[in-house]
Amino acid sequence: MRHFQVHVDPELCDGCAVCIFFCKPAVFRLSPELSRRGVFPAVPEEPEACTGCTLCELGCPQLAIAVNEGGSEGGAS
Amino acid sequence: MRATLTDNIPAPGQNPLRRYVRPGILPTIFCTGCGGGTVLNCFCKAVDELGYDPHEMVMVTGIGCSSWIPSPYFLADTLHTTHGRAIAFATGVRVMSPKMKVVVIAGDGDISGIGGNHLIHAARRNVDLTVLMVNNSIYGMTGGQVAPTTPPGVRTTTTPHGNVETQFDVASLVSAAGASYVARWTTWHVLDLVRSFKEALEHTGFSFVEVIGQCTTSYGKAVGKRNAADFLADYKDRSVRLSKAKKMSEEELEDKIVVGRLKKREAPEFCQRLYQQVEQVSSAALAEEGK
Amino acid sequence: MSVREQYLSRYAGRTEFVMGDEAAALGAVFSGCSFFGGYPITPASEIAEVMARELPKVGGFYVQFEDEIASISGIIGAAWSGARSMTATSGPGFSLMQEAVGYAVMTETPCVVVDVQRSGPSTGQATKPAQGDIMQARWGTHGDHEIIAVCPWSVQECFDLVRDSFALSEKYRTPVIVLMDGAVGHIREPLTFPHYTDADIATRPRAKEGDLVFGGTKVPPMAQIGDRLNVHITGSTHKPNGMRDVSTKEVHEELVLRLNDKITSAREELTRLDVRQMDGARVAVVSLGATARPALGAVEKARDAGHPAGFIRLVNIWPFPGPAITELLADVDLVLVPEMNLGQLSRELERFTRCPVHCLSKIGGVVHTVEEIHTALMEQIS
Repeated sequence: MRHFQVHVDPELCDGCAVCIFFCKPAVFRLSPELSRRGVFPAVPEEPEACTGCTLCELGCPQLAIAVNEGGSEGGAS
Repeated sequence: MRATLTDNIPAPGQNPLRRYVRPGILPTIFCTGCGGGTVLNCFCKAVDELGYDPHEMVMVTGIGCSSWIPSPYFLADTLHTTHGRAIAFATGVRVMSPKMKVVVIAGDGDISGIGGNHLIHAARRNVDLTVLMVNNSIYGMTGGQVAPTTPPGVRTTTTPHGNVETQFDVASLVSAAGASYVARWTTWHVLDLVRSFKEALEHTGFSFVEVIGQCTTSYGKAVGKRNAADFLADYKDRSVRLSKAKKMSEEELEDKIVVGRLKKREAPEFCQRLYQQVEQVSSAALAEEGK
Repeated sequence: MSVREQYLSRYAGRTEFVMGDEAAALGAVFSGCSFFGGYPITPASEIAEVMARELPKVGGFYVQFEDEIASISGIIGAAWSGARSMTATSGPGFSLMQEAVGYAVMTETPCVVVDVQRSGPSTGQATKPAQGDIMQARWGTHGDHEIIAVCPWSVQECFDLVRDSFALSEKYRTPVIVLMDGAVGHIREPLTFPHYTDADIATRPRAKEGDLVFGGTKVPPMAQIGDRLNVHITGSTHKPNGMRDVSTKEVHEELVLRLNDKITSAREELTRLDVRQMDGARVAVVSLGATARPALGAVEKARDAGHPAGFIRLVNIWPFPGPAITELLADVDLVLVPEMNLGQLSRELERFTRCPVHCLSKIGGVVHTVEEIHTALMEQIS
């Protein structure tokens, strides 16, 4: 089974939730805490569910998301 | 045009496509959930997959939110021009820069409203340009006035009693005018967008991609959709691929968005013919001289 | 020898009988013009036709655009790709081009715009000459800006001033307007061709990595598309590096003041006046373009009869040669300004002299006669 690391740059994310819309395995949710940008950013809560489809990475209007293959436990930051 | 880009490398954990973005400029100023950001993303992906060197590309834009997609974000020579005229400027650039890939990215109001005349003539000439028209059905930057692409009945800031006009089918117009590559997709179709952008960039001739994309603010308020997800769900719901659309009646297609590669053919391209003629004429003129 | 040098070598020293429009077009060919964006309009169509015929012979490109706006836009795009570019039109087309002229001013794009003036307003007398675009050349585009404009009065000058205009546009990184009028455009006279060499062609200062393309110096070096400098060109207010910044008052001030100062500080150098018989003159006849021809005749006729009349012809109209004019008119009692409009040159002139300025307007598409100007001159003298 392939594992993926999902990163969302909190400096860029504006909480638009396009990634949440695209993500079938529901990797993301909006954080209940405000980021420095003053929004509720998307955070990869279930990265181990990521299938590497990269729709989130492509759809993100702020280029805030990076999906990388690797890491046996599928880490996220 | 294969490139080995060694500068502007993003840090680990950052989207690798940021190498194509001017350093220090993100986040974009686009509204939350703007389809324009997705277009930028997919465009960078297309460039990356093609292995183009952005130094061999020039972005020409007009005025409006969509014109901001490459300007200032995409790291390449950029000519940000006047409202509606990007294609005319781009034609001059293209003739004099035969080795550059000339790309126009602008909105529906810019390209098909005020810029309509330049659009149809560049298509007619089949000038080798790649034109991405981001269609959000509104004049967004100015606050939400009705556009030639706004559906009938919609209440915009200048149609407060409802739009009494009909919607422009720009892709069909451009195809009829003579463009040799025409496609239409939405910002929901991110994978298709990348593939289509690649095809358009690689195609020699007037390559036009209409991207239906969401404006969550100026248009969103007119149609009661304030989230990108609302629009994307709607695009997904109403999009019909060309192969299927061909089997549907006009009534069935009434409210639908027909997506796909609508046209692709090889046709004489303007600059090539111009260069050829100039070559012939200047040789003949000198030969005559020699007598 | 380049293709252009080879082809033009056959012209050197030759004199041919040509139309003003044709001379203007040939002037462009002799200036290294490599791109012309055209659209037909009376009385400038001949310029487009000659360019279409001749430019390809020297390896240049003629593109007939769908309208004047596309023409001016196309030549600006071409200029950023390295072309020396030109377009030609008349009043109505010139009106359409104004936005893009402003864009060229703001982005410091060298290009030449020929306006062969015809009788207006609107469609007016399409085939008849006038001088009604003098103020439009100055203020046609919006915002605070300066412009360089020149006015030929002969076929030879149509050729020579177009060449000068290319050189000026490259030197100052600005659009230059060649204000012809329909009479000069369609008159036929001898044109003597110089010897052409590529080395004579003025080119814009070119930017290298690290240079500021939109500031830092009075006339910044210009990057070319394809120079791998990621140049960012915009008509919005921008910083010296070209990036848009509309939020900072000082950035706008710095840019717009520099753009204006770039031209006004060169006023003396740009001033070109054809001054005759001004020694001891008490009445000056000031004119430009086609009108200057009968004006000269009138002044000479007056002088032959012993009257102290003088002749000043503006070869460059913008930036207005105010200081030079003030000095020339210091001892003059009265200024007579024959012009084919209702008072545009005279209106500007009034700002630079204390003596009364009498405007001798003639509209209706007919050039002043020597008699008309002479009669008016005599009336003023007595």
